[in-house]
Amino acid sequence: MKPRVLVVDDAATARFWLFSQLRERYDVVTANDGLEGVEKAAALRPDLILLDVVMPKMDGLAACRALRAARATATTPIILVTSKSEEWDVEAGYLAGCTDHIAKPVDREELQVKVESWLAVAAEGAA
Amino acid sequence: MSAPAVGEELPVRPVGRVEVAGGSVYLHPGQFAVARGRASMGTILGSCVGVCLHDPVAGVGGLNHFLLPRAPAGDTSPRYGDVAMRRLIAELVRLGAEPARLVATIVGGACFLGAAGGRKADLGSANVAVARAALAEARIRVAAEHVEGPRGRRVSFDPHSGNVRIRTL
Repeated sequence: MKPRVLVVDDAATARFWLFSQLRERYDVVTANDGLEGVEKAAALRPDLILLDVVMPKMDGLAACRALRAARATATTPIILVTSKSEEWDVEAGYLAGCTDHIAKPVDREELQVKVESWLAVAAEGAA
Repeated sequence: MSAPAVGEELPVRPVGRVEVAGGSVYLHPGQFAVARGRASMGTILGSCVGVCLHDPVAGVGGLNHFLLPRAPAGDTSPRYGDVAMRRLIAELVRLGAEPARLVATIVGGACFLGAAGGRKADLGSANVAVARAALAEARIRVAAEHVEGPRGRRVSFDPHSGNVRIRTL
């Protein structure tokens, strides 16, 4: 069974691009904002979450904190995928509980390596 | 036609050497800095690794920040640890450092899921291993390591004194 990756981004182009990059190897599901992301994470129990930061309803940092507070996603790898990559943005992401950070524009290799690596770590931790 | 990359409209942040401006510099992934004299070099590391190198006699030092372990053949980007280490050492030697006098502090390589590092699957540990190997190959002494574990780190480094400050996030 393919690992499940939840892509949370309010921009349809970003969701589609990430979906197209990952769909061959992973079961990719998407959410349109932070609130929907938190709800879908609880319902679908993804193995890894890619989370934009600037989103309506609930931004990525608030969503990250909510995901960490929920038992189902307390240790799920969460990678922030964001254009907000100044030092205070990066620090805020780690303080919110993210696992890693990928800056936009997204590098394909960085995306694939980080998703694969964190899924492997999570799988070992669950074993 | 392939779909546009996420954030394709955004400027690509340059990698490679960046200059210390106004006495300080913040390093993004793939960047490194070297300097003579007092300065503040800083970065934030998750699974990435940064290596502080200092020559106490020449009063020079440098810091890098790399995100992936080893470059594929022909790729010379300092986003990769093996390239980033070679470039940092070479720039310091150009600035007057003697490799035999350099001392290193390795920082970063976190694994956020609470597990101990050192496994094949762990990107952070793979990055740390590349830094160690590059330093061993160059016969550079490792004075300290603050690596792996479950937390990100903010590091700041003074290339003149060699002082390294690390705060876990």
